[in-house]
Amino acid sequence: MLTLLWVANAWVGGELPQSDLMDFERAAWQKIAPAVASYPSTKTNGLALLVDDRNGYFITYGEVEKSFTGKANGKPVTFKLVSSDEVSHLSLLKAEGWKPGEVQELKPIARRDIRAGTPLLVAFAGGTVRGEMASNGMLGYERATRRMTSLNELRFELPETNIAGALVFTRDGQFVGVLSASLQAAGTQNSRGGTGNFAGATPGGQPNNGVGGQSGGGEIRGQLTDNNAMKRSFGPRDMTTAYTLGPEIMRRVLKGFASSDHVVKHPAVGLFVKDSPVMMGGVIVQSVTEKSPAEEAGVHAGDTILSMDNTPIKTTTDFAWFLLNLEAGQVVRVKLLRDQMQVTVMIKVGIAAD
Amino acid sequence: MAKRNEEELIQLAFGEVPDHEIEAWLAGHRGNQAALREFEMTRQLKSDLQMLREVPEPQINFEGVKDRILSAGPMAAPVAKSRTRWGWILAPLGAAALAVVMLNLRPKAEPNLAFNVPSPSPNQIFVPTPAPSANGGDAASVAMRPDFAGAASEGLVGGASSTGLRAFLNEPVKPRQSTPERTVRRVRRPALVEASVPKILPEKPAPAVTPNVDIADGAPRPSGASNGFGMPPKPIASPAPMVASKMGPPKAEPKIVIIDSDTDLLTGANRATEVTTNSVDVVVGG
Repeated sequence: MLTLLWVANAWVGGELPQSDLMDFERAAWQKIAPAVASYPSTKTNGLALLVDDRNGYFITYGEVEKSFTGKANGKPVTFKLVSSDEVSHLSLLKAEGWKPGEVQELKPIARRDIRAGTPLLVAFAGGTVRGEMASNGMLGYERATRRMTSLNELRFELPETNIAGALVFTRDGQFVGVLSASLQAAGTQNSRGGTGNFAGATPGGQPNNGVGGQSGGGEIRGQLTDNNAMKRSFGPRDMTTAYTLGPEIMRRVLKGFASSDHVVKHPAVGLFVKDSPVMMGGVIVQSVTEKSPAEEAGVHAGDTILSMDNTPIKTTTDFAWFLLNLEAGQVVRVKLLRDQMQVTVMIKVGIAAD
Repeated sequence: MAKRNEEELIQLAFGEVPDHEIEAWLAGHRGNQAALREFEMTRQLKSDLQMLREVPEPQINFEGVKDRILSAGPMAAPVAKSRTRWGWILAPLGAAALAVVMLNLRPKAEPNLAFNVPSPSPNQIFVPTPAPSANGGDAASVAMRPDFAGAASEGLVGGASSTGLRAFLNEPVKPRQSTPERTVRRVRRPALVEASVPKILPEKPAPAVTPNVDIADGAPRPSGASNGFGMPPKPIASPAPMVASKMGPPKAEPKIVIIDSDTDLLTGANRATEVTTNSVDVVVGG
């Protein structure tokens, strides 16, 4: 592990070869690498990204110590934890003694700039591999928090290291996100060498091109399954599918980190709903968080939400996407069905941490 | 005196005097056969005039003819009505005649396109190159020949002809060298082609090279653009991503990614599972 961490520290800055990248990919990475810092980690890739050069702020994935050492721009640096966001699992770090102006900070990408098929560079502790955006419009559901989130789905060559916390960029140096989850087929067990979320070789011993051979990797986006194109772009190593937070969520996180209190203000109303038994018949309120905006507005468990700001809410998916687009402080007009009567309430969107 | 009697007789015969005066006049001329005969002839004249359908009633009235004509109303109306009636009859006939003329011109214009292409290709739409025949080869007859009809049909179905069609449509149309009598017949046709076809057809989408794929079931289907009926093409299954302008419901992606809190031993990242939205019964919120 120590050797691995040392290697990770060494390659950042473009000192080590990056997988099987083409020359133009390697050149693109050389421009990105100075903004990527590394630090010892046993749970993640131990990478951090410069997001505020003036103040020396970096972001990283996962839990970190309050103070630790790492390497940035080829120099040893001490990082201090400034803030953490429990929703995105991202943390804000401050590099002590950071000298601004030497490294170009990277900006998060906008949704309009990324689409399925966009070539990507995925940076791990062991090197950089090429990847490809599969979808930028996935809806994710975090089982522990029962929160919905938007996700980018991407595919890349299987690295030798863990992927949690890997940084994803476009080839023109825009920051896409941090890998936080990997796809596993339903019903499979989590074990190396088994039918996990990475596919082995396809039958017949042919290299897995990530299309038909990802037996344990779930379903791949149909629009990317051009067999020949994938063979030309990837391989011979296996492919996998993983997720980063969607661009809007990432921007919200960075905006919160850049605020004076460094707190990310995720919108929340205190409503938990499920689909109505009636097909497309709205969502039924299962519970209302105490002292939440929804409770203050008079929403009760058992109410059926029909629309929010005149946007029809037919399924939990509609509800989730609407909730993701809200901003704290916004007032939402919610039309409910209660005891066969239509009721309209106004909910002032709060902050998830409240 | 004779004239005065004549006028009196006409007034009597045309009923311009009261009935008792007519009876008194008849009683006074009971023996005057000539006068009675004249009276009867005058009355017969009135009857004959009444039998003429085209003669307005007022014209039969000897005394009121002038005044009633000057009053005009009854006189002008029949003329206008007659014109309207004829207009209803003639207008459709004229339109039909014009349509026949246009239809006769149209099929003869397309074969002329073929003759005006400098370097035609067998795959080009509407560009069959006829072999010169001994009699000069009428354009319409060439287009109807089975071999060229087949080529044209192939051009309509095959997407490879779209480039040829565009190239062809950009070509200037040159008047065909022909005999004097033919020149007279074709003077207007190049103008017709130049004025209409090149300005309209290039804006149409090119026929698809490959068969379209229906998005719903993925089955290959013939392109609407290449079916020869001018139908718009069916949407082709595109590799375009599911991109929302804002964060919006994924219309074409009814899937949801369930992210578990435990990590995958292989990747170190949280485990994720894709499920269809209609297969999960979860409580979401925030």
